Order: sequence, then C-alpha cells, then structure tokens
Amino acid sequence: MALTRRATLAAFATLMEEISEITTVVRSLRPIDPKQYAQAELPLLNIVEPEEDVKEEEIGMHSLQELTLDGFRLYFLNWGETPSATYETLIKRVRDKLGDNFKVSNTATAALIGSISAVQGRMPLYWVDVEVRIEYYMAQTNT
Amino acid sequence: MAYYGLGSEEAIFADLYTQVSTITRLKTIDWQRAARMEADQSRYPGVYINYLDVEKTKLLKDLFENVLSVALVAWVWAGDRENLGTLMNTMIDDLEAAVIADPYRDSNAYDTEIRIVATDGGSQHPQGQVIMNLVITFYSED
Repeated sequence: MALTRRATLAAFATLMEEISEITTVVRSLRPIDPKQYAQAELPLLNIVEPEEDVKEEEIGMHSLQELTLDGFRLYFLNWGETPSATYETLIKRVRDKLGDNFKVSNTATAALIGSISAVQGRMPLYWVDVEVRIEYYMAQTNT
Repeated sequence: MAYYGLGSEEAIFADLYTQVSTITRLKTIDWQRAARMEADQSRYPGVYINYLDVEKTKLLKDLFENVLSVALVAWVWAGDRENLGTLMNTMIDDLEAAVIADPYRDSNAYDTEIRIVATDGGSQHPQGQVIMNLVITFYSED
C-alpha cells in the first residue's frame, strides 16, 4: 500500500488528539512560541514538520520513507514542587497511544519512539521533547 | 492541585504588612513612603515597606513570572545609654524572622529571598537605619 507523508502526519496528529490528558495539538512548520497560548490550552503538543529520509528495504524491494519527528514538544503546566508526576503521566499516555497503534491508523508501517528528553523549562511552565520515527512505504519500488 | 505562587502585588504587600506588624514594639509601619519621615522620637522605631521594582516575564498568553523588589527601611532610636549597634542588629533579626516566617507570602508568592541588608546608611547615635532588600518571585495572570 502506498502511503503519503500528508496522511501519515495527519493520522499521527489525530492519534495524539485522542489522548484525553492533552488539551491541544498544534502542527506547525516551525516551533511555536508558547506565549501565544493560554493556560487553558495546556498540556499542548507541538508537532513540527519533520525531516524525511529515504531508506531502501532490500527484501520487499520497496523504498521506505522515514520521517523523524524530532520537533515533537509537549508543553505542560505544573504548580507543584516537582513536575515529575505530570511528566510521567503524559509521557506514558503518548507511549501507550503509539504502542497500541504502531501503524498510525494504517498510514504507516511502523512508528517508534526514539528518545525522550528530561523535563525542561522552569516553574510553572515545563516541556519535554520526544523523538518519534515513522516509516511508510513509498509508491515506487526499487529496480 | 496546589498552587505555588499565583498572586498579586497587593496581596504580597498586605502580607508583608501583616508579618512586619508582628514586631510589636514598632510605632510606625507604612506602605511606600507616604509621608516624609520626621525626626520625631514618637515615630521610632518604625518600618517603611517600599516598592522598588517589578520585572515581568511572559510565559504564556495569560501567565507571567514577576520578580518583585521590595525594600524594608527600618529606623531605630537609641537612648543615651543604649548601644545603637545592638538595637540595629535586633531590628535585623526581627525583620528577618518576620520575612521568613512565611516565604510564600500567604500563598501569593513562590519564594522570598533576602538579598542585601545595609546598615551603614548614615546611622549615627542616636538614629540608626537598616535597609533590607527582598526579592519576591510570584506568578500572575496579567
């Protein structure tokens, strides 16, 4: 099945919107400025347009497109002494969501979480960066 | 969820006033420097709570971090046989205790730091002056 970047990213954003703990999902070409958003809009997930890279799958003789979402940033507010509990809850929801849907609603062949950063920011606005790699087949085959 | 430090300047000043008022021997406590300080013994010892400055940093559309600078200006009067230094040190101790009794300013601030304590502002027997600079961090929605 030939899949497209547009469908894959749209499906990924939809998947993230289904996480009840995340209030807002924003896709953007460049990283957003959080000052444009209000408290009520957080937790907010910013999906920045990813890098793409072509890989070749030798057995299937297909070209695989790999999207590296390294601009996947989750902003959240935490008024407590440490943000660790909120951070863990949100990251677990993201991981679970993707873990239950590796194929991103059948728009990809695989979606993998690469790395998760430590909590960044300072009281009370924090964020965490997550790297996600999504692979999907391109229409062409290798000859 | 407990809120740490979402407050207002007015509430913080009110709390400082309340805390400083616990120093029972004070005869004068005022916000800002509303009236010129007279060299009148009846007003000693006293404290002015002076607003110096606030630096605002926008975090979100409706959330700001504020760093508020406040100076507590205290003055004491020493009797003929009293040691001015001792009186000033006691005043510093009392002010410090009042400030750190609740660094959260009745849940209106994230933290209160005592930065500079100056005692050489022209103090000479019988008058002594103490200036204690505070840096108070709090968050606000406007």
